[in-house]
Parts: sequence; structure tokens; C-alpha cells
Amino acid sequence: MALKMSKLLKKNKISVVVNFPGDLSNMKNSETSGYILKKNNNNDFNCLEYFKTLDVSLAKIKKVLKLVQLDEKILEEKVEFLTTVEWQKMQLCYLLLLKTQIIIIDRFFESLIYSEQQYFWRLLRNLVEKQDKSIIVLEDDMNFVSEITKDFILFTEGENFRFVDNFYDDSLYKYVKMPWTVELVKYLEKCGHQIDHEITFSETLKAVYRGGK
Amino acid sequence: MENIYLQCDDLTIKKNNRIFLNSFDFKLKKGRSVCILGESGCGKSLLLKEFCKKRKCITINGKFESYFLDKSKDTDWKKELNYNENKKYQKLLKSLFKNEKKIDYKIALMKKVLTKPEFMIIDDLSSILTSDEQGKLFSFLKKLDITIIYATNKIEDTLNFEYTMVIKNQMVAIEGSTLAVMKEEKLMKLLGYSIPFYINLSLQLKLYGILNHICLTKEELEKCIWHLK
Repeated sequence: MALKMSKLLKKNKISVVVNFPGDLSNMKNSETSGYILKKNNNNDFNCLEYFKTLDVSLAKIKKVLKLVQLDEKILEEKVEFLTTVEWQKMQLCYLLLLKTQIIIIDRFFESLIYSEQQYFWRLLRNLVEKQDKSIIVLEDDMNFVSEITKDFILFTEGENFRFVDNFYDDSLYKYVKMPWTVELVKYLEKCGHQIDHEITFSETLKAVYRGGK
Repeated sequence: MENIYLQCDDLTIKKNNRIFLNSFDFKLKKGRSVCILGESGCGKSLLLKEFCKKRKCITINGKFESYFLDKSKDTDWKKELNYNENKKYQKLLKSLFKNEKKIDYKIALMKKVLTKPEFMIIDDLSSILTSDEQGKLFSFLKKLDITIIYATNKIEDTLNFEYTMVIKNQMVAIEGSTLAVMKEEKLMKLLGYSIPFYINLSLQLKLYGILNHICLTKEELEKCIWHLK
């Protein structure tokens, strides 16, 4: 799967990958590439110990914790007591402190509420723009994907994938759920109304207004 | 006091010196379905555990059971059922769930449901069931008159329940009938949520003056804009 990941990468950009079939649970972090994963099988240590292998000061750790919206009290917690999101934020801290160049994030956004999704998406864009990082976001929630990007990589059968820039291509929805916006526009068209093919909520709202006025 | 199924007064939820909920009051009537909405780590699951201590119930923890069942791929639940049970489950499964993904979990879930419990506490099924499947499951449970408490961080899930409580900063920030809560668009935004798609769209189209009430489906929306002008 490592070879596959390099094919998905766009240098100094965020690549969004949908329906990714691989298991990343055994991937190891390095200065070149690092992973933010959902499950943690080896969690019998506290959060401060997690940063032990890095040569960084406590002040630096606390600063990065703040950046990912974690309270510094979390350092006293055992990793096994963290929620999935807290654990993922901890991993992001680790990779930022390690100064990893390529970050691969496995289904992080789906567990966040809207304001957190917005915050972390901005944070990732900042990392790409200001720190020259390259990021692969693995995500299955098409409602979120349709709000953040106009193109993405879709895994179809097994390890086959293709680049997608048309959300209105019916063949996509054999593999993923249609976003609300696309589903609505397609339905209205079926009812005989002419509606522009938009993807985001705000643009679809305007398209429905224009069509229904 | 009649019909009060579960009650907590001034409940505080703590774990490892962290306070998750403070002065929490809760009353649940029999047959009601309540959704507890809150961001990850706000204490929803701990609250559900506290409810379990107070009242005998069937519990389902989507995240945990999904993880557990994924690890035990060899377990063939179908073999554990006799012929009649198998037929009954298969029929129900087909009507509720479109695809065979995570079928082991779905069978295990239906086994619990078919014991016809009075009260179920369910923690986030989103890793197991699609939103459509959840909708079908919860309307099926409603028909069985099962009292339900469900916890989630996904706002669209609340639409399956009559009543919604939103937890933020260790307290209940807003509660009420789900539609009434969702209509508090500005407050929900302040709490960090974007409201469900069709409610959001309806509210915006109301502002634009081409719709005069909230529509919950695409069919309703089309009818209201194009046929009921």
C-alpha cells in the first residue's frame, strides 16, 4: 500500500481520497511521512510519554496542543482513555513536532462537528501553504468532500482508483453515497426543472433559488 | 410522576479528575426517543453508562461492537441461529438494511432488538450503518414502542428522534423537540453545528421568499417550491 500512497500524493497540496480500501494500522511514522490513524492497539502509556521519543521541550508540546485544540491537562491522561478524535489530534501534534513532510490522515473529519471540521481544514491548508507540507486526507463523507474540494481520488474496485472532477457522474455512486446537494439537483432535474450543477451548499442554494423563482 | 422512565437530578459526570457534565437534570418518559448530541469527548458515552446503572436496558455501542466484530471475522452468526430464527432475521435484515456490509454486526444488532426490550441505550451507530439504514432502524424501533436514548456527534442523526439535547461545555446548551432545536439556527451555529441539510436549505429559501415552511425531504421541497406557490 506504500507504493499506492505515493501515487496519490500531490506535492505541497492536499489530496482528498475517497473509499480508500487499505489498512494503515501498521504504518510507522518518520520525518518523511506520518500517519494519523483511528485505532490504537498499543495504548498502555500516558500522553506525555507519547512525546518522549521526540527531543522537544514541554513548552513546545503545550503550544502544539493548543494549536490542535487540546487542553494541556490531557498530558496526564492515559492514551487508552482518549476518544478517537483526541487520539487523532495527539497524533497530529506528534507529527507537527516531528516536522513530518507528508501527512496521511485516515477518516479524521467524520468524527468532528462542523466548526471543528472548518478549523482543521484551515489548519491543514496553512500547513501546506506555509510549511510546504503535502497531505493526503482519506475521507468517505461525500457531504464534507463536496464542501472542501472540486476534485478527488476515488478508489473503485480493490486498489484501482481514478481522478474525479465531476460530482454529477452517476458511476461514482456505485462506490460512495451521493452528497445531499447532488442528490437534490438530480431529483429536481428528474422532475423536469432546470437547475445548475453546483456542488457546495451555498452554490446549490442559489441554483435552487434561480430555478424556483 | 407517571410515565417517568428514567430520571437524574443534579448529576455530575467525572472521570480521571476531568469533569464532563455538571448539574445535569434529565427526565425520560416511556416510549420517548431522545438524541444526545455533542462533540467527541464531551462525555456522551459516560452519560450513557450512568443511565445504564440506573435502569435495566439493552445497550449497543456502535464503535466498540464494530471493532470487536471486525476482529472476529471467523464468527458466523448465521450458524448460531436455528432455521426459523434465521428466516425471521434474514427477512427483517433485508427490509432494514440495503447492503451486506458489516452484516455480522447487523445480525447481532437485530438479535438484540428482537428480544423486544422496553428500553435501549445506543451509542453512535454511524460506523456500522449508513444514515438511511439508521433511519429505517429507528422507525422500526419506534413501531415496537421501545424507549431509546441515542448519542451521536452527527447532527443529521437527530432527525430520527423526537427530542434532542445538545451538550456543550459540561452542560445542556439547548433541548427540546428536534425540529424546534434545529430551527435555532444561530444558536446551533454558535455551538459549532451546521443544521441538517434540508432544514438549512428551507430556512435560507424562506429568507429568499420562495418557501414558507420547513421541508424535510427533496420531494416535499420540490412540491412546496414548484406546486404550492
